[in-house]
Amino acid sequence: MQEMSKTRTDLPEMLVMEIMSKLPVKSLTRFRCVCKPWSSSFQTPHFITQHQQNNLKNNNFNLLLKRCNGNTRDDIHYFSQLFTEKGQNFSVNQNIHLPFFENCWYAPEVDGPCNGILCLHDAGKAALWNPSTREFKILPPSSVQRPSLVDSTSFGCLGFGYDSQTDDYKVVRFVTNYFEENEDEGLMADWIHQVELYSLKSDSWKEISVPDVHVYGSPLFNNYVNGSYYWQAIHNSDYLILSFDMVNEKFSTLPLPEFGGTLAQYYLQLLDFNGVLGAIFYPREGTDKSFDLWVMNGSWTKQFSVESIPGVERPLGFWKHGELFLESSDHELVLFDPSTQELKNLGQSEVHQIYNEHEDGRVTTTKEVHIYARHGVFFMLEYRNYYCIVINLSVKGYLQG
Amino acid sequence: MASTLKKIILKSCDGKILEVEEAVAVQSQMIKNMIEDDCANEEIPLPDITGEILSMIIEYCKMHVDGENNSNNELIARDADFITRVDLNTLYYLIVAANFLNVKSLLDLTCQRVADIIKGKSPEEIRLTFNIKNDFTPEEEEEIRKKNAWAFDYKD
Repeated sequence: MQEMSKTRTDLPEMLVMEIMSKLPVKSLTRFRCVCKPWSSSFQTPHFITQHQQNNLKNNNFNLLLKRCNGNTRDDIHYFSQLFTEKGQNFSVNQNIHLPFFENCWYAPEVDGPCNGILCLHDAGKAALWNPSTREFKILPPSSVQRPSLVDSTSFGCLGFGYDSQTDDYKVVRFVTNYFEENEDEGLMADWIHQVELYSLKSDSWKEISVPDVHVYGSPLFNNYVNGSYYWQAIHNSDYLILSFDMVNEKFSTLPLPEFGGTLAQYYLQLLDFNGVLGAIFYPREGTDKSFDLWVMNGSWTKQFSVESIPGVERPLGFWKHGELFLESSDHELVLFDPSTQELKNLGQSEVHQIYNEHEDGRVTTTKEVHIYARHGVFFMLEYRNYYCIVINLSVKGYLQG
Repeated sequence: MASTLKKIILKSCDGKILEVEEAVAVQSQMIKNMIEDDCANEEIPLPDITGEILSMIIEYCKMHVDGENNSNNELIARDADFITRVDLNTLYYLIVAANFLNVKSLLDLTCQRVADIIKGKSPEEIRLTFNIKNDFTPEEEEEIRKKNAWAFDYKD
């Protein structure tokens, strides 16, 4: 009887998994409830590697666009996963809602991506989030001992990256402990800095030594580059860059490029440019902005200069072939191609001709999306969807395990 | 038409004999190895591959040999044209055969095609398609579904 029902479908397990390794992550996630052997097969290192290789081969990049209208729970706050065919039209593939921390009114800040994972944080709360699988891992509160008699503790800059030696994700966080002035005891207001490091593998925080520079600035781009995280920093009124090596857990500093100006005149944004540290400088004032990109290859060299693009506000990120996404003065999304000097407005056209269905059933129209872009904190990430998938499956083991 | 090109003789499981130019046959890594080991001078029996499937595989390999000088985009278009003509049932046989003969690009193409066909299906449909018994208890399955509710939204 059993033989009778045998059909074409009796593919060897190995070939079935070959097919599965070519599925989008959404289908894979759904098919986890097909049967137990599949569910566990999808989480083996072999399958994950196969999936990664298949999908990296397709060189399929996706773009996540963080959009919001306002900044509270009641506002719509989500990522749009943009989809492009032949680099021409961008349309919204799906919208992914940003998770909020419990008892937090405001949307978290977003850092990353690192292997497709984002770090969300809000004051002392931090989480790792994989937008591709929606896995959300809230980091435990810091167990690092604060100085005695401290009045308040605040959490500052944060860095998130991957330690390839131990296959671990780490979050490094700057903490300031404040002591209020106490006239009765003749104490001046004072503060003590601390730095703490979280490791996903150990799922705990530890204290590490404080660098003697002050970090500042909030990154527009991903500041994790090839094993290290970078911050803009200041030391005795000199501007420089502080880096943190995710493997040896040590800080070091490097100088800014001699870019021919001062940070009073120019904005600086650090970023990952094809796996090396890049620094974009652009003027704080004016409507015709130029953008200079410097890269760190042992020493700083100027990669390219984009002269005077009219009506743009700031850079958002690089696309596949060196094209630069920018936010226009009208807060719309534009794409600039340095090789052809062509400026394409994406904000007016394709992106906005989309209906967005929200989880609560609301459907927003073209016009409203446009409004989000205007009011929103416009923030863009280049994001390898498939790479992301892989990590998210591999992380699954210890995110929820 | 006389030809000086070396021919490889393949025999399908239903007794069909196919003569194939060596350049086409070596698209199969398995046959290539046999030729290198000097084991391909007589007809090569292929016990699990029917004549129909074998003809399709040869058509595919020939297309790739003939198209060597074509642009990548042209090849992709031809692959797409080839694979969209094949139904799911035939695809399974092609996958097994491409795997046996070790034609990597065809295995990728056929597996990707099946993946594209099934990606929007429900777990129930997948169980039917692959003849799989559900070994989760209703409670266990419900828990997975709940945890991954977003993946059960079939919009895309």
